[in-house]
Amino acid sequence: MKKTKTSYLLRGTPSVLLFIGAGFVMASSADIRAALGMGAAVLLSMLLTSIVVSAIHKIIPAYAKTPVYLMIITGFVSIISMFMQAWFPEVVQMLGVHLAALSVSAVIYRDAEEIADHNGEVKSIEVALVTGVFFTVVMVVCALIREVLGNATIWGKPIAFLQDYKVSALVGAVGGYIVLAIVMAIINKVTGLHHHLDESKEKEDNC
Amino acid sequence: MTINVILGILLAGILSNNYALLHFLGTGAVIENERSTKRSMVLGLGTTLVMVLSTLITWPLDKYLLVKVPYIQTMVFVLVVLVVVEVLHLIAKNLLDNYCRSDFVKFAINGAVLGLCVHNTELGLVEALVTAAAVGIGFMLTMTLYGKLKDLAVDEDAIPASFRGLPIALLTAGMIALALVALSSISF
Amino acid sequence: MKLIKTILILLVICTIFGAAMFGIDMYTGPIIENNKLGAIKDRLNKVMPDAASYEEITDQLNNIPENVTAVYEETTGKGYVVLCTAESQYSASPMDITLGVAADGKICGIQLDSYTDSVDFRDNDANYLNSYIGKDSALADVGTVSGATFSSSAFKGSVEAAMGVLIENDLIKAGEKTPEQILTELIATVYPEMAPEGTLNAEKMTVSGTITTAYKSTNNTGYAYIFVGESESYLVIITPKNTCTVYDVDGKDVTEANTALVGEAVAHMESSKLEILNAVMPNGSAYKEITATLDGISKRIIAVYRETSGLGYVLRCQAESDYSSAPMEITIGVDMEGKICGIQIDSYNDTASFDFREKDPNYLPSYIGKDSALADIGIVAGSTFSSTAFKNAVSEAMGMLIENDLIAAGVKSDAQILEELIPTVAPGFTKLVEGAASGNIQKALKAENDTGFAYIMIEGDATYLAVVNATGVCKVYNVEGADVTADHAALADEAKAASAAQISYSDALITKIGNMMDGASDITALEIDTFNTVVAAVSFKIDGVNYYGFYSRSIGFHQMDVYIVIDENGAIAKIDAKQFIFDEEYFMSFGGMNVGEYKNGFVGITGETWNGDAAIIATATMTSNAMKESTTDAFASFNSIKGGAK
Repeated sequence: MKKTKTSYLLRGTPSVLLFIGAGFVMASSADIRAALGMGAAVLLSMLLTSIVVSAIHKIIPAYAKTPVYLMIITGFVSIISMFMQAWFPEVVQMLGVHLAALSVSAVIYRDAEEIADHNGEVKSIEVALVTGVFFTVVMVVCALIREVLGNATIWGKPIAFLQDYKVSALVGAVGGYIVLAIVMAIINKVTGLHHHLDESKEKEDNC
Repeated sequence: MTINVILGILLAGILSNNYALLHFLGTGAVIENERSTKRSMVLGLGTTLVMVLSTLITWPLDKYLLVKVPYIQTMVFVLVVLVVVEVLHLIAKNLLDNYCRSDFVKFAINGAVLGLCVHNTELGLVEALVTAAAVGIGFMLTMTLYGKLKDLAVDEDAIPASFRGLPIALLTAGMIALALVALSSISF
Repeated sequence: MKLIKTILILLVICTIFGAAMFGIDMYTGPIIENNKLGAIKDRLNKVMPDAASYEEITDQLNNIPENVTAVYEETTGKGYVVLCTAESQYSASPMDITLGVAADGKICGIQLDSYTDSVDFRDNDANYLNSYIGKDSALADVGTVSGATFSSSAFKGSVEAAMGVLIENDLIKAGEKTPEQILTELIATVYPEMAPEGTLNAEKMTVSGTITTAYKSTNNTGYAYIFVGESESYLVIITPKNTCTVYDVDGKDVTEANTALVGEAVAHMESSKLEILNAVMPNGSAYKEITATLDGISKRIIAVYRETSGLGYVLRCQAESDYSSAPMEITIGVDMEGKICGIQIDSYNDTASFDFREKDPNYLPSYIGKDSALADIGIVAGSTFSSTAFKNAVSEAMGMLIENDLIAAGVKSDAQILEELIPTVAPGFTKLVEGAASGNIQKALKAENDTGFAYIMIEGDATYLAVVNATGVCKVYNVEGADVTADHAALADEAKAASAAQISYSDALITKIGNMMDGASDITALEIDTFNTVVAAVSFKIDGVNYYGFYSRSIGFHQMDVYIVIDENGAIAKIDAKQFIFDEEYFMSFGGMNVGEYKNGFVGITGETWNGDAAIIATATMTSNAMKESTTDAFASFNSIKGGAK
């Protein structure tokens, strides 16, 4: 699983990153508002961390990198969560502990450690933005499916004609896994990325 | 604290309260696990130890100090976990590094530990400690399970290409989660 | 070195972030508070409607009991709102209580949410919650709701605890309990027999002298007197055995120092007892208790008094029916001629809906002037058990007076004797209804279940009883109870003629047998000379074997129609009934009877082997009894057929 600089954009990394980040993705994709909120939180914290880390990475000694970056991430996540609690309390209610757990999430941490640590601000911001947007998109897509089909609501407002057909399992833990798996499979197919194979497209049916 | 309650919490930690599979905390670490059983178990035990110790320290901290300043909670908790992990790392350096492919420090600080600390602030101290142990054991078992699953000879060609890797791992996790949901009385 | 440097860097970072967060908190803190409040504000406003806004002060208080979840202070000084829970042993999850207390310490609002107990005291007593409004922490006159004691005690206890928190933290002043309230609540502590489960089972009596309140127990546990003085107050308890105890407001036994109070309490009790005695003996003045001097006192007799000026006697006795929680207390006044001059019930403990005094206001007065024969006194329809118990108690009491030669026995008229003979000679005739008299028939009675007729007839100067059963067979009895049918054929004919309107059930039985027994032939109606619940009998053959069918109309919960087939050897071949269990018999559907199995249980039983067990249906006593009666009667009718001509 070697990641070269060039393969970052749209190749390989997102699915790898998702492996680690699958947790909060599934947790927040039950509802569109939660997905957007979490996506924004991830994006912002990655952005801010990248900026700060890429600015100071030269002056932090190697042995101190882990705790320091960790605390920086935690700090930013805490600040963001404070604002969210004030402005979007329902979103925070829905996310629960996952907002705080972002601060130890391997996604942001790995991003800080492996990208921001070695690159300048511009590059870091670029990667942070892309990853953040990517995550948000995945979360919103999953959330759309899960909320509309699983809860028959959209943005919290119930959809009348679907109420009788909702599949509640989609909203819970199980649904998270399944929907994300399918969404990722579709992405894999569409972008031609496979974890073990090379870029050649297969003619498989994916369901 | 009757033995029934303790056993109940322990069982819950593995089944109905499984953090990695049902609460999505620490899922990444669990699904990604490719270590051998022995390593997984040792790592899991280490994490359990971290969880219990962190709960021991963070619970009183939260109850008495953090009541007035709730926004500092995350930072303090992360600091505490960090310290605990570092201390453990120092004590058992050789042992742990032998068994961990990546740095123990990076591994042990996962969402499960933090999530556990935050949830435990709502419980009594003894309950919190037992829950910490229970969740840790559940985490360890799940991790080992996954390690073993990856070991099993899987017919790569049988899986549709776009499903290989993450999707199939997620689906597997989902099936296990389905089984666990049936066992839990919480309606999600 | 590394470690120190790391720690330093960490410190720097933490400080920076800490400061930043502190600053942000100044801005976001209030917003977050408002959000939290917004969610709960609706709930708080229900009990304190004109409140401006609230501030949570839970963490600033001491000694918060477990069931108090939060305390809010209304920011303009109007008062406090306490959120608490209450749990009784019957609740699946706790009740949520919202309590609004104004600044003067009085409750201004109270709300109950999330109620999961099996019995909701708000249904039992719609005003219960309202009774709390305006009360201070003494919660004076707020009791518990009967029928929902556990939940309402838990509720009250929780409210008390909630107000206790406010008082302890000097937020409101404690209400004061009046000495009377303290002493009344003391009864449950020192004499729990009168106040089981904390509810006082007593009614107030009119008071005099220095007595503030007097209670007479409604569950035969004695009397309680409360004396409220300027500086001291006391509670006096008098048990049925006449032991007296005096308590002060702290619950201490101070009997020895307060014999004057004892005297006054006892005097009041005696005079109230005297009142009862005087109520049944007009012009009576003083009485002497003579219970100990009499023989044959059953335990149902409480006491016997002789009116000292020779007007007569007063009896106090008890009557208990199946439905009473405690016995009724009856007081009867009997004059020297052995006639009842007064009767009343002092303590009615049966289910209120069966109070026969309400069902028939003339019932009690009908006893006045009767002698021990209690002629023409029946029982009250719809309150049979209680009124039967009552009548029996009165009869027994008077019987005891007669036995001790205190009064003369009343004389029963012939008609009365014959009428009382009916249940003996015609046990199947239940619920007799009076019909029109004619000719020699002085009184015509018809059994409501169509089992026959009974006539009180006059021939010459003697009175006779004629009973006619549903198949038209008649028997005549004289006042001694002897069967004199043979000598009074004319009376018998007249009786039969009067019964011509009898519904014949023979056809119905013939049809039923045809349906019930395959291959039945030669179905013929029979006359039987039994006077039980059997209204029709037939004989028939199946494959050359003789069988007899009987139709019995016993009374279970409702009128029953029971069919029993007995073979020529006397063994039951088959049984059936139109309906075994009636829907109205049970509030919930009856789930405990396998009809097929039940019917099969009868097959093969003979008159000798019959012991009633096969008729038993668990928890369906009335039906079981009816089935038992029908079967016994069928055997009796069968035996009479076999014994007499076929």
